Amino acid sequence: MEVLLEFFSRFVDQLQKPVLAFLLAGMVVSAFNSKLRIPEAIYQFCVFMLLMRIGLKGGMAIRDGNFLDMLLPAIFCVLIGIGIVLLGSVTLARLPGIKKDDALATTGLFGAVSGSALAVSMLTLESEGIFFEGWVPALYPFMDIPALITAIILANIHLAKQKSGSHVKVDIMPIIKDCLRGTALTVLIIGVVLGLVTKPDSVYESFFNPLFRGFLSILMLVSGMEAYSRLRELKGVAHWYITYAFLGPLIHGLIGFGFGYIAHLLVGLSPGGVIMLAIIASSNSDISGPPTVRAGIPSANPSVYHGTSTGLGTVAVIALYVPFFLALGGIVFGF
Amino acid sequence: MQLYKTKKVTIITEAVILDNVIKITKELGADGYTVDRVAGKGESGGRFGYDIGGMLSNVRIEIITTEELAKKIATEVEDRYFTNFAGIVYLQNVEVCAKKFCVSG
Repeated sequence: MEVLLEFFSRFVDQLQKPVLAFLLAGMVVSAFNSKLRIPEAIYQFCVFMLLMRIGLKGGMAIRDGNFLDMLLPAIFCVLIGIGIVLLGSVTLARLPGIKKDDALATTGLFGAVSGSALAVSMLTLESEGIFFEGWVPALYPFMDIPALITAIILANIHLAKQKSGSHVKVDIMPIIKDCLRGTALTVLIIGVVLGLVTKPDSVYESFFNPLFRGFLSILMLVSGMEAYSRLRELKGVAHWYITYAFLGPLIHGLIGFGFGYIAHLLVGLSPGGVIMLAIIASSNSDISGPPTVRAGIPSANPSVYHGTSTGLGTVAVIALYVPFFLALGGIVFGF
Repeated sequence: MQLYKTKKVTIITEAVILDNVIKITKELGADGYTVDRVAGKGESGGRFGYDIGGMLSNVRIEIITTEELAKKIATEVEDRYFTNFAGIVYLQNVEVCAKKFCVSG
């Protein structure tokens, strides 16, 4: 009960924050069929700014911190990423009327991570004055890549079985390369490396940090417009996906919170770090994941997974689960 | 001015498989291509490339080559991709200035 009350007050807070307001505004704009288009170059630059900021902060935190502290949370991220997909493959994928490859593509995206949800949760924790280790958000590739790979492998095994048990061979390396070469991860990795080996503090303080909020709000507007368009694609898709889009992030986030709590006990991960890990686990990929899945599981229907993830999942995480896990953290750790 | 008759193969398909299609044409022996981003509507619905990740972007790949290779590329791309991906491939007669495009091998 206490969690719910706390969540409700956080939710109302969240509604008044520019982040969610811009997201909803984007949805309204799209609902009215507005001709407003944010040029591709602009939102790609927004993604660049956010991930560079996350990366730099991560790199600087690793430089100042203990490398060993990161090891356990990084391993947990891999386990959570794979676990979410396995969980989906024995639940969502087995429901009546669900095509298995569609379901696996969807769980792959829900195991993967959204850069924008990550940015939102960083901003929320920072504005609440809750400390978290700066390297926690930079752990996201450790969850993102294993989730996408597991989903692609499982789907290809399934498809090979359908073709009278022919031998299945999935080349993992090209998928990993593809993920790492994607815009989001490339920027994140550059940021981490620069933060780690150089001293980018001045450019971080004078440029990337102050502009973070502004660029995030533009990206939220674009994400809102995008979400509404993808929502329309969901017409005629099994209603289980709608349930999954709302229930999945909650369960995944709770798993993340659980693992985070273990890391809290074992290696002293901060409460803010636990909340951050929960939100990373809760979030779903909406930018770089869908094209990877499209290429890796060609037979899956893009309307299903793209719609479920970008249309519903992202909005659910930002509107509901960021405040929820913040509230849960507040109660568990007492702040 | 001497013009040489040869073929142009055009592939319009999803941007997400661009690299793979280029790789195949290269493996089959085509030594170049032209690519541009396009938008439009077909069997798979409208694809106007407004989405963030580029899932709904289309590309048009054009390769000028010998008739034999053009047909090979068209068949291979059609067989390999167009069950699951949106796309169309067609051949046109073209006349080019450089002789190398119409001599096979």
